Amino acid sequence: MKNEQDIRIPEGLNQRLSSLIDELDAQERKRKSIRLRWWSTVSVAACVALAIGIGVHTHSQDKKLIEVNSVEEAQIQTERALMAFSQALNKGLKQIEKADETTVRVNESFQNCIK
Amino acid sequence: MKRFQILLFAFILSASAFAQKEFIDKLGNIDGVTSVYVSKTMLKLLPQLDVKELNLKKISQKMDGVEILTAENQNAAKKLKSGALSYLQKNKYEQLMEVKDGKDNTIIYMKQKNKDYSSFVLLSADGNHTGFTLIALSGSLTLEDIQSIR
Repeated sequence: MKNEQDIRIPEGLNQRLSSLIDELDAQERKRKSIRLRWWSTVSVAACVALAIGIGVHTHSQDKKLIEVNSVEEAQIQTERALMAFSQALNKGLKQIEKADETTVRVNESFQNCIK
Repeated sequence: MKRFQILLFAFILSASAFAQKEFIDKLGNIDGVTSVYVSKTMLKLLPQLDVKELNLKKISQKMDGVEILTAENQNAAKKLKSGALSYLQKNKYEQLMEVKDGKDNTIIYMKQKNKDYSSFVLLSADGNHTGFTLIALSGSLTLEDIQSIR
């Protein structure tokens, strides 16, 4: 085992290590500063987007629109909307059912013909 | 991570500020088009929708809003129809069904925004092309709910 006194430290190693540590520290500070600026920018952008969203929403209330203020009017309009949907959907589904039945009948006839 | 969550929340909040009355906001300014909007709050205030043979109350509680746009003349009908079709295509609404009854034509579109939230849109044109109606429903209702109304 070598004596401590026999271990030679290269010249200037202290300074080189010291300057390397300083350089790495400066890089880390720069990275932190960039990260902080980025987050600040994004958080400001988010606040602006939120403010614009609320502004547009409020402004859109002024457009040509029948405001349903009475419960009776709301009921009439809601019933109208739901009835229209239901009638159209059920009409369509009825036709699909009819087509399905026809397909089954045709298939049965075909099977009988093959036999 | 905490900062990211706060930012994400702010962005989602701003997005939802745009989401209400999407059809009225987009198409309600066309001349000759009348718009009606029933909000979620108003839907909750509705008394028992106790119309014979209909089952509306349960469904209205699942709804977030109702938009109805009606075109009252031929020109408005043409603009509303083309605007609606363009908007639905751009926003990836899927066509569920088209029903032609004589000269009248009705199309139903749907968009599932997540597991518990869907939008349904009904476009109805009369055979003379003088009238056109768009009805949009949104909320946690399903096709089965709509079918069960009548």
